[in-house]
Amino acid sequence: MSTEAQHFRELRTWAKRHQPHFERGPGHGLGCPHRYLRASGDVLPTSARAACEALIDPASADSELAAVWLHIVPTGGFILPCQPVLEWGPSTGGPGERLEELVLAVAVDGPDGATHLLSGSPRREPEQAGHRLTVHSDSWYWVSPVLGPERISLVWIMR
Amino acid sequence: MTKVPVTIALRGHAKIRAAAQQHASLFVRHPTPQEAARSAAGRLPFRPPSHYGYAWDRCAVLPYEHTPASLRGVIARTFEESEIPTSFSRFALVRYEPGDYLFPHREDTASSLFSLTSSTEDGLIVQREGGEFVRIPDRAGRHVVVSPGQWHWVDPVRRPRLTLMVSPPLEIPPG
Repeated sequence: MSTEAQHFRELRTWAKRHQPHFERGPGHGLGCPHRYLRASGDVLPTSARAACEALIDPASADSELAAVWLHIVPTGGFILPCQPVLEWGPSTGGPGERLEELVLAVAVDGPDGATHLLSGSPRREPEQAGHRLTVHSDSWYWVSPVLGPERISLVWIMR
Repeated sequence: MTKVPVTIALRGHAKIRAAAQQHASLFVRHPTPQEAARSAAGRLPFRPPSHYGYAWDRCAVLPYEHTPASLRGVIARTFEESEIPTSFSRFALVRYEPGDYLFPHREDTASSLFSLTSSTEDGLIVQREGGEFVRIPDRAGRHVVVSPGQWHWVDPVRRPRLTLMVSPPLEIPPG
């Protein structure tokens, strides 16, 4: 098993065993609330946090890591069409603060998948552990109702 | 998780698929060049529309008014053989190639949707009561009613897909 696969396995194992640490995920799409869970990177134990840090792509010279979460979309759950950077990004604060991008990394292979919309055409993303999707401020994203097992992903936002 | 009752109402759907394939050239591919030009010229940020035409989507449509009599006959006979009332006033066949999709949208009127192909990967996402959304995998012959104002969409499909939309919707008891 590759090192990256081991890190994802660590996160999956922790997420499945510690769902009480997860809160109902905020946000809406199409006038209705999403149905997913999320846990901030701050509540992760040392080992899981280390796994996150190993998986998160290094920041560029002019950006910094603003937030990290683990997302669980349970069977039957969904994330409705939304703009993730605006939905989950930190508040913009004062003038000059610029949101960069948000990255979603799939933690487990599965039959389901996310849909990413940029420049007018949606694309269905593969659901393979380690697949990363970068969305920018004008990107739309959704996860249609999950039919398979819970869908776990690592999410981080750069500022 | 909200369970969606499965109604496999339409038997003989293979006949409709075969007849539709024979008339494949009659399907209108969306977006048409005119729709694409209008969209590119005045493209707004994506906003799921409340009312729409197929201009937003990528699929091929054969509406009732352009369906030849022979194909209408196949559809009517298939419904009769399935003991489904043919009380609808209009229908449209919608064909998807891999990558095709229907954007999230909702309509003022209800309709019946029949899957004419089966897939473990593709299907219809539709809003249900209380803010629930469900994904209904494609199963040939399956019947789903979409009510007015219910959001629904088709994610980019992975396999060729064919559906029949009928309006007004049909009352078919689950069986």
